Amino acid sequence: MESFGRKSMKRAAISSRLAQLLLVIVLSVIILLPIIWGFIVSLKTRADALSMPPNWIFAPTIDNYKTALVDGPYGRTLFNSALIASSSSLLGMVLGIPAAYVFSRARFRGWKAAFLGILTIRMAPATVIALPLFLIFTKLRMIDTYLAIILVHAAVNIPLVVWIMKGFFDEVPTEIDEASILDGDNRAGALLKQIAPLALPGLLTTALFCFINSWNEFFLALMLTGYTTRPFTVAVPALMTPHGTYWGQITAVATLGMLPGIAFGLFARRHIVKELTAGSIWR
Amino acid sequence: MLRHNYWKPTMLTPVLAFLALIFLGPFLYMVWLSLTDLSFASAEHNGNFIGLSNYVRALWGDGIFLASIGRSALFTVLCVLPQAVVGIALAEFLHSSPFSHKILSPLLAVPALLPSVIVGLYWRILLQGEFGLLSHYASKIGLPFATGILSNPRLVLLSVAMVDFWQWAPFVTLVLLAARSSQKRAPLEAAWLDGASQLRSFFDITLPGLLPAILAISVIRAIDSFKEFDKVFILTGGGPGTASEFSSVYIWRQAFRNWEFGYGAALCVLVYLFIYLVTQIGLKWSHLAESQ
Repeated sequence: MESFGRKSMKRAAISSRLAQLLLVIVLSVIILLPIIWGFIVSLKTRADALSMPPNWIFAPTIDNYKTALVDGPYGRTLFNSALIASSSSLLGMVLGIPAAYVFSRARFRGWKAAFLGILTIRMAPATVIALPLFLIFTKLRMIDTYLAIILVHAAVNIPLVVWIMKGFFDEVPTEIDEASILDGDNRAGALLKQIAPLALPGLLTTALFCFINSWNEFFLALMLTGYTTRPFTVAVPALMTPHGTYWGQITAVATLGMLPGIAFGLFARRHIVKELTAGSIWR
Repeated sequence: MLRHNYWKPTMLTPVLAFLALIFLGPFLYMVWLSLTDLSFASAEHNGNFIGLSNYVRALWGDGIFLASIGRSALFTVLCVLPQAVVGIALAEFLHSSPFSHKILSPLLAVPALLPSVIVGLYWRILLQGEFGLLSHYASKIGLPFATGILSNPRLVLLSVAMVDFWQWAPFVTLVLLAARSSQKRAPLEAAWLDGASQLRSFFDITLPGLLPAILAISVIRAIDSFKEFDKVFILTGGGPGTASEFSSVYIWRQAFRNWEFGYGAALCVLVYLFIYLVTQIGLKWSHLAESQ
């Protein structure tokens, strides 16, 4: 009797485990399907790309990558994305980190107004930012310059830097600042020499997060860049032309364009959650 | 100098000045524009002051604008509710099943970190008419409307919400999973000892504890889905007709297709105000929920 009960419990445990495994597989397939199908399309010829019923077995070719990157202008657009994303995240970090430090260490009149004021920017729809800047940059002849889009992407990321880095600085005990100041450092020295190294993991993930944000951004780039400075997010949809859509090239460039996000998601997941829940905005 | 109290303004001023230059100044300029008739489409409308006419036109004369606001609001509900419900359920599942957690959680952050333009394009490949992978198989097994899911005015909002679900539900799960994992076990165990069922203790103990996180992520997701532009722009361009023309797409059309900058500016101010007010109410709620 007893052994029978144990056996059926074991069986129940196994079948529950199987059900869990099944659910995990289904969910993984749902998440991965668009990414993998896009990759598959990028390895097909133009005639094959969207033939239905779908061709799952075919001779893969890297022609799409060659056409888009070597013969076409899309290598340049990926370079533009990299340039804009790295410059704007650097600028955003340089401006945002001292502010995050002040918000973490000091309370002063207008603290709440300044902090919430900076975070309120996150609520603005992209059109609200783009409409006046489009007119201003047109007047200044700065449309289609790297500088314009780098400044704007940096500004969009600053609220994030302030919010996230404040969370990381809050975790560093204030005694460390005080000791450093007693040793003769000023505040900037304390931040650079003592606090920043301690918050280094947070610093790096925040920088990468800003990079990804700028790399993925579409609307502001659509409005403020032009043919020479456009990032890949603006260039790729332009492959849907009136005389046909070049799905092969779209998926080739898109596959490369998704790599930073995929890599960041796989390796920095823990930090992302911490960053986005660390915000004290809700208190 | 930095040693005394000057360090605060010294470290804070650059960023505030920079944000004032890129956001505040241009925003005030836009508020001014909203009181003018500036339009690149006609030579007479070169920025004459016209008072509140643009606002009157938007709120009392422009049914399409008001409809686009309603559509965005509906879309926000279609995004936030399913994502919150499924997020809660999946977070509970992954919390109770460590081995599923181990396999699945690396994948959960990925869709949210992809360029939403590319997400839009990829779902177009999957869903467009007879050439879509999913719509092909869906019509093979006889699902109605399968090949018209992006071109059917009645389904298109659901389709775009589904794509948004794909991109964001995993991330919502991840956030709620983090909140769930930081909950204490003792109250749950006490409830089980008292004979409460799994389901009962979930609704009585776990869920109320998750409420602040649920509200916080819902507010963030609500703001983002109300602002949605990239995916819908790529998937449908606002169509068919105006069936998926969200307020962001309508404003874009007014400003950057019809070149009506004065009117577009007024619409921008109205939408921003709307988002701001609704968010404030949402935050008040989440404060209330947290203080309980």
